[in-house]
Amino acid sequence: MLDDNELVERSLKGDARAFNGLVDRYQEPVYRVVRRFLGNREDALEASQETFARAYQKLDTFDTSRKFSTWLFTVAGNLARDVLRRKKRRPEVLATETLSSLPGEGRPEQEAMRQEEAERLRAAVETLSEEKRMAVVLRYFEGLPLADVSAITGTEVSTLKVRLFRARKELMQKLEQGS
Amino acid sequence: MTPDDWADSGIGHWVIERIDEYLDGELPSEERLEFERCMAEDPAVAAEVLEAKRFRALAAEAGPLPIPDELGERIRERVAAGRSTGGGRILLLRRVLTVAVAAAVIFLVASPLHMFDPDPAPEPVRPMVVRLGNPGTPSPRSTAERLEDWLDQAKNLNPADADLSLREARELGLLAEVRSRLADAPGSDRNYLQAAEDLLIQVENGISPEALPMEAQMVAMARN
Repeated sequence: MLDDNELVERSLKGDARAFNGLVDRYQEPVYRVVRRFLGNREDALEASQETFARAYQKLDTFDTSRKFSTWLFTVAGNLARDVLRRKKRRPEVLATETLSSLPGEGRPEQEAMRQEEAERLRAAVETLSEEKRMAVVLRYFEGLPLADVSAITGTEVSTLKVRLFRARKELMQKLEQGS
Repeated sequence: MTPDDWADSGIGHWVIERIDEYLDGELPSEERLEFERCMAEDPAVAAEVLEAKRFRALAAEAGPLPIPDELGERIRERVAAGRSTGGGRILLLRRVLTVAVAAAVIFLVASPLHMFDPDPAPEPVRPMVVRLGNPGTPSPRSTAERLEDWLDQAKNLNPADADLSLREARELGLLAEVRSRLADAPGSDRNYLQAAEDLLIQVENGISPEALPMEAQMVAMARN
């Protein structure tokens, strides 16, 4: 299988299938990040499309010494922040689609409690500041390494660690208040 | 970070910096042992690690988000639309232009043009507002440079020249340029680019010539 940079090189030479390969590889992670950041499906769909359209247009400015995924998430994160800034509104509460889609395991009452807690966490994430929210989404929900989150958000690793620590405290406090 | 930044945490900087790496199993063995010693000696540290662990489990349980069925199709359509309106061609054209411009610069620098004209005519007096180039489809780099030039000039303009400068910003499509650069700008550049975007929105909406230098000055401050 071709690696990301090989697909970028082929895309730059005009191979449309190569860029579609990058779309296949990253469409879901990009959507998940902007979805959790923006809080609603339609904005997330729009931001995902725009992310790949911009990435394609600016592909020749991508520095191949960097990771393509980091660059792509930077584009996605910046677009998502711009959507929020332009709309100048708080994102809507997550649609109920997420509630019904969680995998069902364990006893029904445990499952219900788990779903409730997970739903409260998602709602609490949306109350975080933009900076904290992006860091939390990339690091804890998407599971990216600290170095990648640092590069994507343009934040020093030590500052990022503090930001994540504070965000986590804030979220746990909100969860405890709500339970 | 100053000590005050950690004052509300109840635990030390050293611990906070290492909780995630400890849970990821990424601490070097000596640091891991030191960290575990801290946990054993200080219940606050142990509680912090437990809380971090619980949070991670919760985040993992927050579950996979449903991916809309139409996601891939819509992305590919959008990319293809960009391609068919010239995105793909522009991508190739940019590469050719970059090489061509580089070759032209080397030629101009290397050519002893002054030898052909030992008594050149005096330079014409440059107008206060320098035309920064023809609008059209220049390479991204040259447009970016013209944006910087325009901002530098705008902050020093007198109101009489500001009209021309405002027209120039619109003709060059500087607002589109700024928005394009915002898309993948690192965090350190975003304040500056957002200030530039705000100014150029005002330009599009008809900012008064008197206000332009002051506003451009504010953008310059955001850059510094």
